[in-house]
Amino acid sequence: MNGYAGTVLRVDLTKGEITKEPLNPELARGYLGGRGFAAMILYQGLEKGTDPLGPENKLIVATGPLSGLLIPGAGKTTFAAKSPATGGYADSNVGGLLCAEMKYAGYDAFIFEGISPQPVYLFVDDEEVELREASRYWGQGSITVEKALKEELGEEFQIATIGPAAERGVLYSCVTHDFGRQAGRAGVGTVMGAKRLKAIAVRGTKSIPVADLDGYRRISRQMYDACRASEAWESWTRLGTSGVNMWSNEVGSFPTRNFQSGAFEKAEGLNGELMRERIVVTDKACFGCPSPCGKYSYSRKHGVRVEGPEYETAAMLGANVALSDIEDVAYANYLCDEYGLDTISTGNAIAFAMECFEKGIITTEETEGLELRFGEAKVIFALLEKIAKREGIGDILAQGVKHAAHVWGKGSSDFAIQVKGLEMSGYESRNAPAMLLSYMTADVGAHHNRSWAITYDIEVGRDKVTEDKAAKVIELQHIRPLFDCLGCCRLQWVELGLDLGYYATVLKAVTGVDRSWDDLLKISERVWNLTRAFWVREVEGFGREWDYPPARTWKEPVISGPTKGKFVSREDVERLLDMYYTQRGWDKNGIPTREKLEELGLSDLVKI
Amino acid sequence: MKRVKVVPVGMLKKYLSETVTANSHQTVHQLLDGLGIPADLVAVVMVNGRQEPKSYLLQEGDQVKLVPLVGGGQTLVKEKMVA
Repeated sequence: MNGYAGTVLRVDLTKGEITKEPLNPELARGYLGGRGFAAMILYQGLEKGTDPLGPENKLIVATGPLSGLLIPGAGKTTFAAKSPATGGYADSNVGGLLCAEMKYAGYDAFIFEGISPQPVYLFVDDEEVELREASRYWGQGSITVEKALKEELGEEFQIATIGPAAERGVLYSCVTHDFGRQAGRAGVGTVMGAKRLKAIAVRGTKSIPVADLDGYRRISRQMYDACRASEAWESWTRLGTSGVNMWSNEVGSFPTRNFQSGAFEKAEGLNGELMRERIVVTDKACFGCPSPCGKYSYSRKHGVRVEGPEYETAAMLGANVALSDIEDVAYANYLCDEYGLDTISTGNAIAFAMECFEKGIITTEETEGLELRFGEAKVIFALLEKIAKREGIGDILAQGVKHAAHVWGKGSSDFAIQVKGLEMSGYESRNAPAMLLSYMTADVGAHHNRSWAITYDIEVGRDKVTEDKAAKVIELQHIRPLFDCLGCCRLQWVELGLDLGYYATVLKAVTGVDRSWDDLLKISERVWNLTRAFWVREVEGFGREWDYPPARTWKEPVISGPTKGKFVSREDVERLLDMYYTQRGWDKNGIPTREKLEELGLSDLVKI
Repeated sequence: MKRVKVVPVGMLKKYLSETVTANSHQTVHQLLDGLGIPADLVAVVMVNGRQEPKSYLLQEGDQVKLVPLVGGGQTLVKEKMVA
């Protein structure tokens, strides 16, 4: 099958058996790959009510039809499972080189089932596949184990690992690859840890079949030329995502002190140019990328090497916990990477505890003596380690801010910044209704990668709550996740302005299947509705209230900065959802209608 | 008159269609106001290959690049792209 390796590896960790299955052409046609494969396999393959940390949950590692080809950014691998953090659908993708190596080895996806009796790693060297003993790596850090496996197996093996946090069941543990890239969100690493799968190591030497080789080469060349000709190339390469730290602060979207504000008075210390001069050692690109946005850094102050901090980490472990020294943020980033913690949820958890402490909801009684003050680097590092080890207060925070608010009570759920149980990523949105709606309706919880609409808010008017904003969010929720189906990074489009028209064209050359851009968006919409159906099936009583943002949104105006005094009213939250559901073809409770499911070819599969 | 070169990138061309020259000895903020470009849409200001804040005072001969974020904007697809 052109564009695909053609085989799926099914790994039964309980029995230690590995089977090779041909890739189902219907799956490829209807769902493309990556996140599309994951959504379908999880919907079809999981029994209702599956325990996310039990043997019945599946961990999917999936590539897309563009993965591993010479196409800008074609290095994205999806990790997916039923989320232990939210109880709903989760996928999270990681850059680097893993998906390319998987396809060169001959595999489009790995499906992990069961629980291994002892720690293992999956070894894949083309046809040779086996589970290998990994007890000696259990308990060790993600980066440490990646380095050790490369030394043991060879530099050309691509490695994905989990850290001690996942082994201990911290609910927002990530999967790390390529020395500092993460499939970070919603606990995909936690599922890997529950399965006692410490790592995946892959080497491949085969090629990927392509339908129209000349056409593929021609359009690939055009895409690379367009990226390099982009006037934005220079700034993104120099700064990566840290280039927008100051902008985010200027427009009041830089989460500060647990999202109390969107502007951090000491943000200058997190300035991307300053970071470049002070700690960045070199640029780092993922597979096939002409715009190396990764920044590999060294902190002299702390004596550690780390990839980053990129924007999200500077926001969540910088401004949101009031750290203003980029080297302290780099160290917190390093700790998260080694322990295998998602920096976004970790930053939220620490900030939430600090606000609770500030308000007297918790005291040194609950914190084992730690004075949880914003901006105190040593306290932040100490709390981070407690979370990773699930010690004391860390055990509560390891289960996410929704859980912590439930335990501590006293109105703290109003400022537990999460949707569906997933902590919000780095954009304060009380003066950005389209961005807020993006968070409310993202299909993994409060994450920005499905729709990033804040510039739309700025462009058309930040106070407006209008139909076009719901339409823009839906449009973006089809475009952006489509990249996750293709196995490709979206930043060449977002940052360099690479025309979207290339993707349908190159996909046709690769697969030989003639599909327009609109056809591809329809597939993306199908996947979106399928993940929604997964939530409906798995979460008792799922519906509208699961799309509500934290009550701070309407109860407390922004306390400082350019958006001071702004908030989104409860009525506007309801209006946003009404507009969104109607435009999506969902009912008033946010459930896809039969008509919509029929239109998308899901009515046989989905019974809701 | 002291001059600087101003290069708009991507969707900012809606506000400034091509590269222009402008006066130095004003801040980037003042430059944007004068050109009618909403400052909040300019994510990164590059001056001679370095990121500078919008409070930066322009010097003669500076090359200024104004970089937006696409995000919610540029979603149109070219109609007739063929392999």
